[in-house]
Amino acid sequence: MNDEHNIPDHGFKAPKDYFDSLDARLFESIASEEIPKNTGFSMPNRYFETLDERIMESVLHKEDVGKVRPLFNRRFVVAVAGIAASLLLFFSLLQQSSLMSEGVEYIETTMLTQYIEEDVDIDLYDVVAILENEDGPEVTFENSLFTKAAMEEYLLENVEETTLIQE
Amino acid sequence: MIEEQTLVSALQSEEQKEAAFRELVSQYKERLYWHIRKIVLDHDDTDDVLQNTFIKIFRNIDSFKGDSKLYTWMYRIATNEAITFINKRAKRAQITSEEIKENAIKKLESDVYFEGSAIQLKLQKAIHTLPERQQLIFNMKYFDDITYEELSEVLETSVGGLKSSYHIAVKKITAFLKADETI
Repeated sequence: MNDEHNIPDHGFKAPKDYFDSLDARLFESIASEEIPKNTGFSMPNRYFETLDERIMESVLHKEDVGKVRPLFNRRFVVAVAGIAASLLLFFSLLQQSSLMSEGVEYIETTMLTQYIEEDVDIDLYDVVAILENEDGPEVTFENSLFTKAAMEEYLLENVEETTLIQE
Repeated sequence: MIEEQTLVSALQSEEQKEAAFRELVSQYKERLYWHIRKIVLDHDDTDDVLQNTFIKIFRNIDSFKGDSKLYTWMYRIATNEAITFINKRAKRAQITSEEIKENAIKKLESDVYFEGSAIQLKLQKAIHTLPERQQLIFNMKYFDDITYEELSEVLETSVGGLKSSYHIAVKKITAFLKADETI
């Protein structure tokens, strides 16, 4: 047609990739018109005005008295191992029945998991923080040697907290 | 508002940490509150999760290496805290996390801190029919206007995957709202 009437092309240009994303953008704006933009949630009066102080109080208070018991603290591990050994000895002297071993199994699989999940306020970030505070520069696993930095990076980037708890 | 890099440096210095953290709380409390609220729904639960989130941020700010933006790092912590909160509660009640969320939705109808209309209540119901990840993507993109690139940092997913998930989520929500209109 242009050739027939010798009319030049309109000369307009659209931005690069404009048509590639047009459908998606149109779809979004059409769909959004049907979905309300406000959630309807509210909160108590002046909630945000007092929030800062409450957060600072809980953060600083937790830092002072509520710091997590380090999972890898040697003294803690020794103490737990000592208590566990004492209990085991006590029960094995008291009665040497199969019921005992079932009891120990039970503690390991349910109570311990429940205790860790519900009462121990520790997560991946805490584990990494503990590693940062440990004295030794390296951690040895069997024959392999890992630097703390490499292990921290690996934990933060590759391990899900929930997986850590479940496993 | 203090520039992010300056704030991070102050947060990682022993002398300025407390003052910088006050500034951080002041700057981000509302954004994080609303992000958590849309996941756990109840105000008091949100308050608990928000405090835990800030405690985690305070304790772990030294491990923030600046690979992502500070607030996407905080969003990630807040998201993990909210999900962990729901999972723990579900475990304690010996029900699934989906059931916990259903109960939270039911409670909204009588919640004094929910002033939404019928359509806003329907919207919350619709959002909670989505898989957890789609819920997060929809909430952050639709209500918080977070860019796909930022979302990608928070959820550690490709931008392409996020776009696709968001479109699916919007489609499902629109369909839910329309279907519900006919009932």
